[in-house]
Amino acid sequence: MLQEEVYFWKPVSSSQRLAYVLADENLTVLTHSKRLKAWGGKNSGSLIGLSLVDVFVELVGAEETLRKILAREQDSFTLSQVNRSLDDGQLLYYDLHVRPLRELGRVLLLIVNDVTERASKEQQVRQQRNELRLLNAELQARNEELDAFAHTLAHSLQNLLTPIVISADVLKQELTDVVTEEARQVTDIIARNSQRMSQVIEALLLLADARRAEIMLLPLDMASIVAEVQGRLAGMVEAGGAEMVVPATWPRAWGYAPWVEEVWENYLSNALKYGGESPRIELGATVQQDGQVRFWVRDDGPGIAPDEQVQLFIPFVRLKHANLAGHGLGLSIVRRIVEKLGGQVGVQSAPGQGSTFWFALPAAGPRSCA
Amino acid sequence: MIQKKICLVGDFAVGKTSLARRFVEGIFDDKYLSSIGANISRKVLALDGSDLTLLIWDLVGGEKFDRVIANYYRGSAGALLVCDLTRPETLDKLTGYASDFLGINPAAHLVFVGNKVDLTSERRIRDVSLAAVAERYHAPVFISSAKTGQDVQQAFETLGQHLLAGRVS
Repeated sequence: MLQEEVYFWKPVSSSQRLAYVLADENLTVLTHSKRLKAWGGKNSGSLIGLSLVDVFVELVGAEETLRKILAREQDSFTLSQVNRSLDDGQLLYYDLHVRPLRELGRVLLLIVNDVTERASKEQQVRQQRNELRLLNAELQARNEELDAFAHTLAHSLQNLLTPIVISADVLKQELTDVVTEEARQVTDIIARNSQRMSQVIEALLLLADARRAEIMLLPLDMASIVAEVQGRLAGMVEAGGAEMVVPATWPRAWGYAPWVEEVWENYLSNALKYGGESPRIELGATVQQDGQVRFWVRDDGPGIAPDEQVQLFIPFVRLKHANLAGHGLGLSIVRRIVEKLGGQVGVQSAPGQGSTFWFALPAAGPRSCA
Repeated sequence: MIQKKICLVGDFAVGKTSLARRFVEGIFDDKYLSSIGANISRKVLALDGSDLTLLIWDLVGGEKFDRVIANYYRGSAGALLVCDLTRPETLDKLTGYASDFLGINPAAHLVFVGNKVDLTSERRIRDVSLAAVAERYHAPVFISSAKTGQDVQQAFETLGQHLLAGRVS
């Protein structure tokens, strides 16, 4: 709050928003509108004869600018939404605009525009916006903490599990002839479940790291990526008697190949698992008008009901009919890494009509690559 | 009497208004009220036998640097650059604020302030991180709390002393 010995203009009438002051080349007030009067100090009343910079302390430091305006080296000077708390607690907002008044020689015109009403509304909007930004930042910080925690936990578990996986394999191979059938079954259970646990932990690590990882986006060689994934899933394709239809060329898109491989592997393994008996799985891509390429996997399985579709990409949610082995992390990983790559994910499906899972990535250019 | 304009600069909700009110009026209000534009207050400091009047411009935070902000900065002799010790991103942005401010006032003196030190369990900026940023500008650092008053007076007084020293030299 400004102390009382400081001069200041005081609003005399609330019906007028604009007021003016004229000052000479020495920055001394020559005249002013009646709306303004000195407030505080010994000379309460008229501003005439006072220093412009003493009355309007907002102009302290701007003296050089004011002289440039008088010398016609600068057109004008504006201070927007300057505000002061008055003694009665009222907050007054005003714009100050200084320009030369050439008709009267070397004279400055200061226009004072009371913008309190407009500024008060703007303050309310800004208040809400800033509170939202604070909440958003807090959420982001908590997410980072959770990711860091998940990363640490998964690493620790993986370190503990690795010797169990290795030991179970050794037991299976070395003790075949000397243990009972029951002991062999127990050893199998240990080996199988420790392998599965290891996969879950790997998935958790990818999920935890995706949001904070620093990666470089490059144009993708989608044909190679898909071929790599097909190779990995060859056993499943053969076991399920599946047919996989792949296009000869792909539109170019930006991405990070190791992650995009994960996306395809998730979509294709889901299609193999849930696409029905001897599924026909079609892959494709569509260049969209929004500058993205939509890559998709279509199966002819039983389809997914709308209420289940909305839960698909949420971590640890598995659908009722998804009774095959799985841990419910796959699609949530897909979503997180595709969003990190600047893309989107989704599904189109209806019961009895199969499903089309898609992910969209920023297009890299018009050229297609095989 | 010597009169100097100084600015309080930093991201939104770092506590610039609270620091100004603590320094000028000696009060603190926990409620967050976002500022718009520039609020001007004044305080006279008795330093080294001189009376120094500080015109304190508490500026809107979180806005992009443009002509309006440049005009607020213009003619300032110094600035307190404030970050919130519980929000690391507010420290990241301080160099941008410092560089914009010095672009308008190349000879200005800076003091860096890490505010809200009273929120001990939420603190996420270490002293050394803030000191490293301040070091780039050869500026002093204060770890403050507008709520308790810790180091608020000292930060303003240090800036005032630098302004007086700069004036003499």
